[in-house]
Amino acid sequence: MSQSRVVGAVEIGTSKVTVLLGEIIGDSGLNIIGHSSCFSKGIKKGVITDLNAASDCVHAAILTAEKNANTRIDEVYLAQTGSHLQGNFNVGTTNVGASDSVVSAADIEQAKEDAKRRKLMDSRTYIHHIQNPFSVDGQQVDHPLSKEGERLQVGYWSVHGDSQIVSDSLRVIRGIDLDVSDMIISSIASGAVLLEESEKDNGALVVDIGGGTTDFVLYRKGYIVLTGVVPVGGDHITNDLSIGLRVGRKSAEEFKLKNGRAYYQSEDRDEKVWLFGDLTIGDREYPLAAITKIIEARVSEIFDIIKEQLVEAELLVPADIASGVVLTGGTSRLAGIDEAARRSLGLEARQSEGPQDVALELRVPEYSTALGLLHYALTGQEDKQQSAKPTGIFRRLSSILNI
Amino acid sequence: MIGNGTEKGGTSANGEQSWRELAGPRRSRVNSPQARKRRQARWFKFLGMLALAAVVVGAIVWAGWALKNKEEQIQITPPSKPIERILFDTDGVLPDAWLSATVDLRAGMSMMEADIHALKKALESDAQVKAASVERVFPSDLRIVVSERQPALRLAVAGADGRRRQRIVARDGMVYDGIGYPKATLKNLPFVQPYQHVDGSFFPLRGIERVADLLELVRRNEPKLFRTWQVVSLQHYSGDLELPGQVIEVRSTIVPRIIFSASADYARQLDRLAYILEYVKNQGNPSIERIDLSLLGSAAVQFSSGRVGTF
Repeated sequence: MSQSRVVGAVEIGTSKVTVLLGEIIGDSGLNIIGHSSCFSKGIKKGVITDLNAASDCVHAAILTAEKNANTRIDEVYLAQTGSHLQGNFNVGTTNVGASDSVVSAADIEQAKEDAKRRKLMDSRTYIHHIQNPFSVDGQQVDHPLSKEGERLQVGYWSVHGDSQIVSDSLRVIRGIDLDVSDMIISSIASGAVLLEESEKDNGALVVDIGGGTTDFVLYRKGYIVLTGVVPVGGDHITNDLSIGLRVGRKSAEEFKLKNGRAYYQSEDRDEKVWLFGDLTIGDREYPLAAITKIIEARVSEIFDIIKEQLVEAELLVPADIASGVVLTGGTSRLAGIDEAARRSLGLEARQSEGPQDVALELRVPEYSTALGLLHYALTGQEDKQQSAKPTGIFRRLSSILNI
Repeated sequence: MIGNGTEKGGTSANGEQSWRELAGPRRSRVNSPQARKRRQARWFKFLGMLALAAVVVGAIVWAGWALKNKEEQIQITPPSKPIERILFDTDGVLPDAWLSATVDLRAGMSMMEADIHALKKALESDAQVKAASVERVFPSDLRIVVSERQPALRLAVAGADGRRRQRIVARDGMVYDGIGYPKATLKNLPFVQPYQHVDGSFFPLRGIERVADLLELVRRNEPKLFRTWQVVSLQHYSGDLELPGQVIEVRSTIVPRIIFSASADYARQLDRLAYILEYVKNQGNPSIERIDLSLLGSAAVQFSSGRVGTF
């Protein structure tokens, strides 16, 4: 009989806290057994600003999910976002130790350790060390073990965040007597479930536009080569509309989803739309152009910042991002956002459809990060194919004896 | 499965400065009402489970104990049938009728219902019984063995109604009614005049064994003489041989008063008595009033004529 464990995927977002419960059976089976979400409190731009208010909200969401599933969570996989997240690319190098110039497992480990050796400031902490391809004497290889060469190199995209902010999110989870088994940044979690293997190999940019932040991850040749967080999200669009149209935030949010479009077009000048559309007191007409121009400004800002970062990293090469841009997150529901991305980034773009192998109600952009967390709960973050550590008695023996 | 396999190369951050190092002690957690409620619920559940486990363990222990006790009971208790026979054995004269009147055994009473300790106590409550044993002989018999006191003397006492009654004095001084003795046996027993204590009472009869020794010796060696003995007077015998002048006086049909020393050798006194009686016989049987054998080194004989001789 296979042992099962209940994993809670928790995403503490700026506008919403999402909890998904998955029952992992053995090493390969995953059943989603419960979910819940609630409006966030004490969180701004993905960062916890009021611990007590955030705890109330997160704990309530976890308890509701547990109650719905009629079970208890064993461990938590936590999503991390916020503009405090930064990344840098480090290259580890080692000279092949063996006299016959054949790369050994020890050489691989040495190169990896070298790449991860960079010290951060005390106030920073690593979230991910994302491995990039190896190269042997400048030649890129996926599996360097037993290759011949003198010099082995490996690159790592390391993501790090503010220790205090990361610690706060851990404390919130510990407040309900749960331990965080793993922490994954939102963009990587979303990318894991939204892209096919071939899309990752062809290159793809996943942009997760949330309420307070926009996370993105760039895949090239199957590897994650860049991640980033833009401190602008759907809430900023709503806020702009609220100010520009002089309506409340709630009305502005409804108006955005009902009539909004992510880009302006000349026909909008002649078209007018009703605020509520039910001719009640306070209902009034607005020129559509006013709305789309406000939205376009913010959406363009988001994509422009992403573009800047891609350009800065010399990674905005359309040929290397052949699968285009995949948009997800709550704000990706905004009409025309794919077109806006296309115009800003110069890449093919589409709104995500969500993974096909989950229930219809979970196949929405809001759940992509939490689904990605469950994906990692099932598979882990280690690449077993590229693991330099040999498995099995005979392989370990051969490794020790170097045969 | 959700998603499409693991990322190439892996993404985990282990080692130095990893977020995992931020996992601090539990006290650094942030509480909320929901978390407290959840923690309490978990504690209650834990305590409930603990109590349930204690109850289960207790029940198992109790069941084991009960089973063990039951087994022991089966081992020591034979099938309890009704009592069918009472096997009565006595070394004396007590009849079956006395037994029926003394022990209370209702008809159909089972072997285990009979309280053998209470029966023994009831049997031994009769002073004629020195010791009694009651034994269950499975499957259906009850064996009662009685050891009786042996009569040494008769005692004539006046009852509350003023009528004279005869009671028996055993060798150990115990006085009892004397059930089942043949009349001849009782007739041969001399009467005893008990010692009057300083408070005026006659009982208990102390030192009666010494008296019984004398009677037994005479009965055995001089049966003819014994048959003439009618009364044994203990009026000058307190039972305490340490006191001076402790004498046993016997009244017989041939000599009105024969006085024995309770502390001296009976055999010698009896030899001297035999010699005196033989001498008197040879002298033509003059009437004797008293023979005192308690004197040191000699015996005094007082004839009816008033003459006193020493032997």
